[in-house]
Amino acid sequence: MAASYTLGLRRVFGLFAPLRSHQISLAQVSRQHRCKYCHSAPVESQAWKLMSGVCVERYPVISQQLNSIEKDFKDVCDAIELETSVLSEHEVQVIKDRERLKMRQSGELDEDIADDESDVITALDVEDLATEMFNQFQAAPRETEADEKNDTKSLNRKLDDKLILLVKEKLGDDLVWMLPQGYRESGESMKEVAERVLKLCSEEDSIKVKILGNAPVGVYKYKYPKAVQKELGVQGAKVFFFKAKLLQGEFKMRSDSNIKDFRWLTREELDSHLLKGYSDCVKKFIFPVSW
Amino acid sequence: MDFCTLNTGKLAWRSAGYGRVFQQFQPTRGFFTRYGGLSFQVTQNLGAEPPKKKKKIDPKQEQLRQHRYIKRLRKLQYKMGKAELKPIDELKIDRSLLDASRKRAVPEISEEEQEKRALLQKEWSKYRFDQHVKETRLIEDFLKSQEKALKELRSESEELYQQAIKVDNSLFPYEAIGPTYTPPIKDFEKTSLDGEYIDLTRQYK
Repeated sequence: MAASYTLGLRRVFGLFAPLRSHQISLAQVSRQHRCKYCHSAPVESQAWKLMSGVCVERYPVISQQLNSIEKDFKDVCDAIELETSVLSEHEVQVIKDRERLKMRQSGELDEDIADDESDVITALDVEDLATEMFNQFQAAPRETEADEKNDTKSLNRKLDDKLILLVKEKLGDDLVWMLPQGYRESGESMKEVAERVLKLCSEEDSIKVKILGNAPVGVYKYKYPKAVQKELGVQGAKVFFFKAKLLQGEFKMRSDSNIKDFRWLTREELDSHLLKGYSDCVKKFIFPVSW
Repeated sequence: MDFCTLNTGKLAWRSAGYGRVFQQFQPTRGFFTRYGGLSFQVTQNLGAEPPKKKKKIDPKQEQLRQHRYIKRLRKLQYKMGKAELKPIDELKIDRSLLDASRKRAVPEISEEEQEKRALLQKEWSKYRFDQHVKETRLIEDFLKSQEKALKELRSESEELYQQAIKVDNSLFPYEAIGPTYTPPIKDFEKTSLDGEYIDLTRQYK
């Protein structure tokens, strides 16, 4: 029984290739109906339920903070660029103004002759004016209120990182964090299922997303408990994941949906919410922002 | 024998050298539907096209006609004015940038500083290579994950698999904004005074 359990698990993780040769030798011993890959007691059905999952990503809004080597390299690049550059129009004007001032102070330049130029705004004045205008401008902060409160429901947090939508759903008896998912109904393509899943868990027009591509980016298989397997006549479920890009809007949970809670989390934060195997599977198709 | 067709039923044999000529004339000539020994016959020589009848034109009249045509064109050009060539701004170099007065007074870079920069350059290339390797691995993992998913889907249903491998034409054109250094300010367009502008782009004839 213990052996069958491990083999079953192997199947879940898709490592069936090494088992095939083993299967033939055993099949010769017994001609009973057996599972194709594992040699446990006869299984009634090999069917799997099909599901689609959606990985909604909010892409970074602001650039990442440079790390130490990036910063050093940028400083050197800037220095080299400055060294190889020529003086700009403004800098030339500043030098000219300074020379004119010097000449006037020493009396070389007659005030009356240069009258038409004397009340011209100097380049430095222009600079001061621009600096003042710049100082008046207040850029939005890189760290937002949601970051301070650690409000994981807000899309306004961790602006320099990707955010992924996780929902809490009832699976069996426990509540489990996962990507939004749902069963396929006959006649639907897997992508259509993914679209429907999102529609069912979010309030109408609350978010606008675009599902990228027709092909699933990953798959996760899990087996039902034995009792459920017998009852439904299926082994478990295969969840096919699709990636989606958040275009606009805030996610609002639909009150009549299966989900109990939701969160926008970064890739690093997924580990603390998801089951180990699930998290490993999901992280394969979520690219980190920096590595 | 320049050209011959062997007609057995609808099968036509053509000599290699004149294949192209034959193809040109195929719909009208050298195609027979009759069969039997008598059908094996030499067709007409099709190496050349029958000459077209040339129209006789008075050379003086022709000259006059051309003359009038050129005159008309000149008149049109005069009406439109002289053609102005559109300069390619990107190719123009501001000569004043080469002036000695534009030179920046840069302090001599010490050997120590140069050494530091060279070392940093090396460190940087290592860092970037490392990033590249990691990125490649991530992409490989991703592709493996996708291949596995497609395999699993195919084992469930061929139809679903075929739907999945279809090209998604809606992916392009792809549009993305940002990221920027600071996030956008909410309702900035409504509160800021910018918004009016005069188009200064030069128009050329």
